[in-house]
Amino acid sequence: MTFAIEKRPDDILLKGELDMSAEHELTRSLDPEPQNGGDLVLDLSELTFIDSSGVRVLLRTADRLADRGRVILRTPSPAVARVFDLMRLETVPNIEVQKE
Amino acid sequence: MLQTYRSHPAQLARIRDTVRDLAVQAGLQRGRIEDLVLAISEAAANAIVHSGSGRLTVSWEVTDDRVVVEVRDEGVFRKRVPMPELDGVGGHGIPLMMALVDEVSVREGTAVAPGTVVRMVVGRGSQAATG
Repeated sequence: MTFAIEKRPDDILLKGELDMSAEHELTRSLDPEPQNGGDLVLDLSELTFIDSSGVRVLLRTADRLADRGRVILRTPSPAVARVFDLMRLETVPNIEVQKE
Repeated sequence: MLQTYRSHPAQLARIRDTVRDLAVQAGLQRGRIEDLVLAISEAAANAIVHSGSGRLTVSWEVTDDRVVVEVRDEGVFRKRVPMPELDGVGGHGIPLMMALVDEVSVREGTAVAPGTVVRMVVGRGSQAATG
């Protein structure tokens, strides 16, 4: 398994390695979410890798939600949190990285 | 060590697995391994998206004090200045590579001499910068 998306009642679980081969799949999956504004919660505890194309999807999603909601990035693994730190994702107004 | 891959996004996971194993064998620290694996994956992704060539190669060399990796394609480098105002949220690959490893250089493939080579170096010592 390279990458998988599991939609759950309260959040979306991302699993495996997220690179450009999964960029469109993830974009398609996040596009309709959330239907009526509000926060989009992504559980990243089982995501072991992310590259700049994965971050790009998150940035586009946050941009689309604008002031109608936040992208909550929950419990990233150390490798994923490292990329978020380097790319300063926490400075995006409607992105919140929850490390624990 | 030199390996050739088809220029396709599905190859990225294979490339990462291979260089992760090599990095472990080279005795790199855990954090440095993931940094180098991501940097190589970014370079390979650029080659796949931008070079227009059908394959890419990854070479791996370990010396006493460092690891030198070259990601090579057969295409022409697209010269451009990063312009966040125009590029939207893309164009972070090369700056990310620079943040991840100790040295990055790009030999740009041209129409006359195709083949872009991204060369990345990480130190093997514990003194290596981790940002």
